[in-house]
Amino acid sequence: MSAIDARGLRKSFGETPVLAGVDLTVTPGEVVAIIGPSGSGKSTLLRCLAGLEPLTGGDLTIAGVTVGGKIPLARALNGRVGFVFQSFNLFPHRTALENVIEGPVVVRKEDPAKASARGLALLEKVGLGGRADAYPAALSGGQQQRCAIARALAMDPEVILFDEPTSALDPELVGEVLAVIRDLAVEKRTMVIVTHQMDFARDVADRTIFMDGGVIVEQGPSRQLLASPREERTRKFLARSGVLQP
Amino acid sequence: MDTGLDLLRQSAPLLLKGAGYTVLLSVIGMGIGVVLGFGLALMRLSRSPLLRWPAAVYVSAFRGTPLLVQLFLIYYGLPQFGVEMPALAAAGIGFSLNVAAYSCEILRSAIDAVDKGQWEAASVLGMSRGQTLRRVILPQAARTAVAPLSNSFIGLVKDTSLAATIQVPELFRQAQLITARTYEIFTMYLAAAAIYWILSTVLAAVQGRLERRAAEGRR
Repeated sequence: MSAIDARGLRKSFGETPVLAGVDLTVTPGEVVAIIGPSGSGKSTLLRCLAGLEPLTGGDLTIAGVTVGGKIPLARALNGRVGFVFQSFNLFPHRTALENVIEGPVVVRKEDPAKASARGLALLEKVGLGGRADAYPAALSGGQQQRCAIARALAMDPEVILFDEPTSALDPELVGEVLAVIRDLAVEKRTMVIVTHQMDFARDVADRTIFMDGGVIVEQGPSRQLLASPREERTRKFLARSGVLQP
Repeated sequence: MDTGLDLLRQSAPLLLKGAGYTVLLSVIGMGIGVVLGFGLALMRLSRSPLLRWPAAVYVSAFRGTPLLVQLFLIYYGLPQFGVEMPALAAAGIGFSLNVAAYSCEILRSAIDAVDKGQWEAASVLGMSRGQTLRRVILPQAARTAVAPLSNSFIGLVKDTSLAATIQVPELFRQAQLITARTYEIFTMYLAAAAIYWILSTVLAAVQGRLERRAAEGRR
């Protein structure tokens, strides 16, 4: 069974169509990168997949949950779909560890001691072993984003969605976050990553999708798509991004 | 001067008793008012218009009419409908209802001011609306609300002097009563003013403390 099965997803904000019929299938263990110019609908697609935005139309099954109607289902997904935000969105009044165990303890009613032990292991995994008691404001952007990834992992998600996870970071902090995501790819985690980091997409994603104007223009194995796109729009975008020679 | 000092010494117990009522009314008004205001704020943030509307009308009415008129309505007006109560109770209810309207707006805007990303982060973890409010939104909103709530508390301490008009023996009323007996008008009102000032100053200091503590947690 697919981890994500989306058919004809449409989304409008008022009169403005942002997604104009998107089909997307992601198999378990697959890593998919979504690239495209700003305003192309890639972040909206991701937010619709996570149930953060109600769909205007189309059918979506994600992590075994089928979505009907217009109600956002983020809550109904119950943490089975992890989401990593561009702006981290850590809870500022809770320590790194408290952020990580919030979902397991409050939503899954896990024993706090057990959750903490697991949370510490997750923080260790993302390289924050020593900062469990630090508040988000005391962490660098890269550390905050790694903590946010640990928070998503704590729910044992079947799919993790990353919305431009390094766009809010200083250039020197991008690498540490990408390294964590790369490790997750090696573990065969199912992930969809909206990114502007073309090198990262090429190295880590099995498949890269190019979106423009609210539709998927072209997709294929990352290396192939980034080196020799079929579509003119893709070629132009990659040339502007410095990936292809104009 | 001697007579002035003597008079102050003699009237001190009465003034302090009045100040006791002032503090009592302030604490009751604020305590009940904030609880009611919180309920109203939740109503105003609700998705149901059946909850939103009554709360909005309530807030508009109680903010849009003078506190003095509200006190008169409760104490002098309600007995026409058979609802009679002691002056202290009427004042306590009046102040609570009034504070509720103002603190509703303070709490609502503090909740609104919490970044939308916090709601989203909680919902992708599967947290319910109630869990999100309790564990994520309110702790952050409370920090924003400390300063304006303390301000309205200090304002309330002074506004309780309006209760004098419905015969509550609070500080200002005591000063009035002593003045009527002794004709030491300036001295007595100055003494009352001094006590209000001391109460406000103490509260302002407490407010500063609370604000520093609220800021600390953010680090």
